[in-house]
Amino acid sequence: MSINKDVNQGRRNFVKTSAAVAAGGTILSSFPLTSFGARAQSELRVGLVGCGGRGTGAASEALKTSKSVKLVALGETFEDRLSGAYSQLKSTFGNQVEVPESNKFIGFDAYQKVIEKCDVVILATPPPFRPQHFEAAVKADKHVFIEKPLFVDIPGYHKVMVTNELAKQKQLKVAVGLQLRFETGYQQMVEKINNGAIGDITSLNVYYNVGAPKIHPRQPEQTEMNFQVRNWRYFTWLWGGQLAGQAIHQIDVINWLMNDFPVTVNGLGGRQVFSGPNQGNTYDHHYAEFEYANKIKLHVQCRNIDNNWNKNGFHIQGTTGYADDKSRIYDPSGNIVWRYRNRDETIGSSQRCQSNFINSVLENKPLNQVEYGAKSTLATVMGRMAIHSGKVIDIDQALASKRSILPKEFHWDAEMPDMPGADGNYEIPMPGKTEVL
Amino acid sequence: MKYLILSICIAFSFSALGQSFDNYEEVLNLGSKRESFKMVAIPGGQFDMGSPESEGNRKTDEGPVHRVRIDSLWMGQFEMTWELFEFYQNKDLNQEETELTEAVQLKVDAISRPSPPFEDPSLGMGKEGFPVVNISPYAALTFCKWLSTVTGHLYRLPTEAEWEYACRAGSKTAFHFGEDISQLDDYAVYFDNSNGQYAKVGTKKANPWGLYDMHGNVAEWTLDLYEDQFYSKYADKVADNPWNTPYVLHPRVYRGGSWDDDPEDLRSAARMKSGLNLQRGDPQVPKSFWWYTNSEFIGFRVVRSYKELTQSEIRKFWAKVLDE
Repeated sequence: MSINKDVNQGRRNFVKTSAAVAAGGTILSSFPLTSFGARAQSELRVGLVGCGGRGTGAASEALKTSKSVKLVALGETFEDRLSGAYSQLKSTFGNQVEVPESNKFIGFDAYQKVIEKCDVVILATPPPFRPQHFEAAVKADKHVFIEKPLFVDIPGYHKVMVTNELAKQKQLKVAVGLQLRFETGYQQMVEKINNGAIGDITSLNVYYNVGAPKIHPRQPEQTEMNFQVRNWRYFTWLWGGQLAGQAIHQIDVINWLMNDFPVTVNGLGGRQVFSGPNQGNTYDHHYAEFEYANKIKLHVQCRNIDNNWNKNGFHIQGTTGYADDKSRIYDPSGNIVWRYRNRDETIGSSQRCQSNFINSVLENKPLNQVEYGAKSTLATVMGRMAIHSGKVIDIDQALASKRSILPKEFHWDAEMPDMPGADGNYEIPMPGKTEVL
Repeated sequence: MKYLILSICIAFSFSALGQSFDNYEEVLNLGSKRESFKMVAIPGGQFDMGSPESEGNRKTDEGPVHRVRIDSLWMGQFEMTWELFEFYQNKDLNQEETELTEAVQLKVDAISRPSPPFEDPSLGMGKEGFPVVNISPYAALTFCKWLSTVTGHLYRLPTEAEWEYACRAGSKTAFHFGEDISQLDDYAVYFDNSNGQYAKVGTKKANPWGLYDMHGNVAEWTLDLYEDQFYSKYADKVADNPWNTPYVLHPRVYRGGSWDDDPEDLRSAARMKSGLNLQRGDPQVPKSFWWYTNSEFIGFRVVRSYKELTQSEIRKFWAKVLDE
């Protein structure tokens, strides 16, 4: 159970570090620090790897943070996505976007070329590529904004953690796109709960019941890799499953509240409505029961099925009341006793999360969110392992796993671990049979 | 300034009408589903729009009080509820089941529909009988176009002036029932009595013209651009069906206050303006133009002009409001 100790130390250290900086800020900044990571930036050259809706959103939020931010390079596997992102950002931000044709990179190696061109890189591709991209960025001394989830399997977790040690040594700023930690209402709510507003916490629930991801039907000229990357939310190796891809936001809020991460998980799930090759091999509904070291359980239900009851949020039950994702605290009968009320806020948590990152780089303030980003991702990967195998997954067991679910190589003609069978369908995980460790 | 010129009146041409002017229920037979909503006949007339400086909690954008002429119209008795909106959102209409003509069917098929919302737009507050929220004015108007095409009647959002005329229902007081805030609980769902969520439509008393929830429950989108000085251009004349035509996404006017508002924002004259705060939770670029992530307190109700528009005018109207 070493993970919990790490976390607690991380927390304590973070508090100490912040206090030291606050007290000695002027002294620190008067030193001519030579390490790249510790130098304050006047103009910031940003590169974006992964030009989908979220990547474009993250770049846009970086550009909004400060006029000194310039977008200088774009990387993508699909040309149409890259040009879409470019025209969107160029039309909004004008000369803050200076990406000549020579800085638009297409292909699985685009990340390396983007990293060369910038000071700060935003990693927003599907998650299996993230450990490799993060490693390359840190080796090249770049500050990094990493979208969630951080990886999809255990080897990915270890690579991210090892890379992060190097990032810390180099004093690079590393942020993670788990923006709900920047939701003002949640910050106040978490503080109130920590101060006893609902008594002792007795149980925790997370919901992520939403519709099915968009399908991009197979085109005759597509290779298998091309088809799978286009439909990345339908392939476990590309999405990490729904716990990692979506429910991670709320699971991370609970981890933040608990100031800890789950140590064991069991679960169940299946594929009731998804069917056929176009919907790959992911499950469409999941339940996971996580347990923290203090024996409190977190129940997560999530679903990707259209026209169902949908809920995206959490419920925190305490002995004298409960709290929910609307930044509210209720008495046991459901009457609101506290709510966060600031409707006129124009800045969302996603913008705050990105601005905090960019400002940390510009002002040379320490920032590293990988610890909680990786451990919340780990919880979701453990959850998927439990659901696919039908077994209880313990954290020590999970961390010992060497099993990779990724293709050996990333290129359009790569040999794929998940290939359609004779009937065109992919192999679906079978609890009781499927090996995950 | 250019946008001042853009403010025009909705010009309706009289056609031989012969249609009765009564309350009615619009019934849609949508295959296996039957949906309906009630429309209240509101005779045209003149009224004083805005609030006097003497009104408590009054804001400067509510003045000057000026005379406005409104043409006869029907207005939804209730705020539009989820059932019909979701039908538009989710389902392909089947021509054989709905008895639509082929020509109408083709038109209906050509109307775009919202992208699937990322999360439940009702936020768990309830669907059947509850008002639609978290949608953009574009989504509300595209729904109106769909509804108009299916029914053959031109449904749209009210102008800001039409909304206030209907809300006041002849009153000149802060609320349509008078000035006494202690009565507000009888007429409105608002911050103090909502327990943090909207209610089913029509749970409180109606206004003198039979319209429910004009104060509170959900605030309501109008057709207008928000401009704080808009009333001043009518200071010394009668405004004839004024409409401040939008040319930007924000700010647009929504009215009536909501379950999330305090009494002063529920007043008949109170004006609210949209902004990026309504979309702040949307992390994508471009942000959805169908769903507003943080407008769980704004819905809409439809109106229909008594005077009918020609086909060409109808086309121009949709082109203008939907930027087609």
